[in-house]
Amino acid sequence: MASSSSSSLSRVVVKSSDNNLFVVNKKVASQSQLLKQCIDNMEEKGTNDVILIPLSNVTSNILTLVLEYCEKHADFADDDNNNQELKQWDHEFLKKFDYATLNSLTMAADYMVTKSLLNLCCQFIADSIKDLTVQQIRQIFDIKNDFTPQEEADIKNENAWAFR
Amino acid sequence: MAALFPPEIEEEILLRLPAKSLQRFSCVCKSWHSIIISSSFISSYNQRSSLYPQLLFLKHPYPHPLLPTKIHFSLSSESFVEYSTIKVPQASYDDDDDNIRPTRVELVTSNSINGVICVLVYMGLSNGYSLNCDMFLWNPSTSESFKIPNSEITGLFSVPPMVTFYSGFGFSCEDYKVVRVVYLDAVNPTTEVFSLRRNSWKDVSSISRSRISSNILWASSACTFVDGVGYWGAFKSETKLDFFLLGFDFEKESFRKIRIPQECIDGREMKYHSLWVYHEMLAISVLRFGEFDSKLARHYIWAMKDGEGLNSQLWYNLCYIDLEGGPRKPILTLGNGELLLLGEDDGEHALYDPVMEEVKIVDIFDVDTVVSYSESLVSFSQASIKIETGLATWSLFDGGIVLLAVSGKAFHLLEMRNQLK
Repeated sequence: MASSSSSSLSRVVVKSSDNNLFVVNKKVASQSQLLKQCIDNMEEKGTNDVILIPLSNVTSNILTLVLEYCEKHADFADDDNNNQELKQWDHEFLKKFDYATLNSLTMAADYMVTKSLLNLCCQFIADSIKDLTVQQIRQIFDIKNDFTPQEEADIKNENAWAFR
Repeated sequence: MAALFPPEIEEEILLRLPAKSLQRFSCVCKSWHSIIISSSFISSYNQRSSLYPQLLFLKHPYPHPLLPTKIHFSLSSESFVEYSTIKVPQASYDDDDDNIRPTRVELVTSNSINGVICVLVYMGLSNGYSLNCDMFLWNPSTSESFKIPNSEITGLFSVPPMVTFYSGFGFSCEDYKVVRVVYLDAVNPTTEVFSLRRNSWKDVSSISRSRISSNILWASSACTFVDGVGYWGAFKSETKLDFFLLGFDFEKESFRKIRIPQECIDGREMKYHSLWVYHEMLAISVLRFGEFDSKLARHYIWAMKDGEGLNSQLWYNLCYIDLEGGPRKPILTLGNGELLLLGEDDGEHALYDPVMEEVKIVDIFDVDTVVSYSESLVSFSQASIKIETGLATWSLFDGGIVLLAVSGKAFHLLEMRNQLK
């Protein structure tokens, strides 16, 4: 490895599943452990070329949102975690989405290993479903009830207090 | 199963739900059910919720203390929001017989253990001083309760001793235990330990170094459990000023005497002590006599570094807090480092921020008892089936056959039960 060219990439190109390209600067990309790992690997090899990272599981729509999140959090990366302004922004950010979008965003955060976004999404989803009925839950998550009526009644009976 | 999420994300979301929602959602589908009742999920859930301690408040609805109006609040850092109303488990009391009507509810613990607390319900007997009381283990998150069988040691005192008895609640070797110290005579107390796994009381007086607990003039009613040991504040009768901490090691089932740091008292009588858990250490706050009725009450706060068990305690001074408006008892260190202090003698309750050294007054109304609490899904009722120690046995339970393992925590039992169905 040539010592003088201890390379440092400044930006990467990320490709969405529907073949759109996004140019992302390194600090923003580093919010995702997946992208960071790719960058680190390339830097170790001493490559100076701009690298292309294909994300076969993430659509452009969702990738745009993940990158918006990463950009905001990269701006605050040096602040302490308890930043009220950032928390407020996080909340406003997620509030806009329907469940389908939230679900895709959560999956993308998981796939791209953006732990803070994943935590945020899970907490947001939990907060918004905690008061729903069992029927509503099945609807939202498209879950089929695979209990027999008797089995369901038994479980409900055990937890009778939770249905009041 | 047609869920949109892979199981690991589903689990992440479920972990963030209140216990009550989880109970309800356990019948959404088979896969959610098996996640929610699995022992790994239950222990992750407990671990997570212990990072966010809440407060559990009990109100006693005098003059009709025939329970079920107990109120559970949860704590946000700034305001107290009513969370749910739950019932203290009650046995089948005969309403017409005043002699056995419950008259008072006390908590044996000042902090919950895996979300479980121990409740003491006194039976009214106006013509004597009775040991008659019912004890319950109770998980307020799930409303599940377990009545502890009565001890064989019951009785009436014609003359009240200074202390009749006190109890403590602990957890050791995957077993919930309750210790009860009874002073049928002042010098030789009887010490009994109830084990949930054994489902019975055992007299441990002979092995418990109970000399330490003899001649106790006063002991705090609730015990604070930290790292295997329950602690009470106590006074010995021979020297009235000898305040010390009585510790009960729930694994060894024996007492230890722990001196409080001399500087706490500094030759003066102390008053208004309180014990609580500070970052998994025992913390104590004391006020010196003569220093709390002035405008500023100075609270001396110490924490105990626990080296090897109780033998090498090391107290160190955390801080002192000067507070206007009379003495207060610190009872809980919140996740953000703030300290909640309850006002004494109708004084106001306060939150203290140790970084900014600021005090905020908080509104809590008519509260009788407060415990530091974290939600949990622990279930212990199944463990009431007797388990032969050292053996795995088959037992008939709830219409199904359950394998009771030796290491059988209740949630292990539940899980096996499900798999067998």
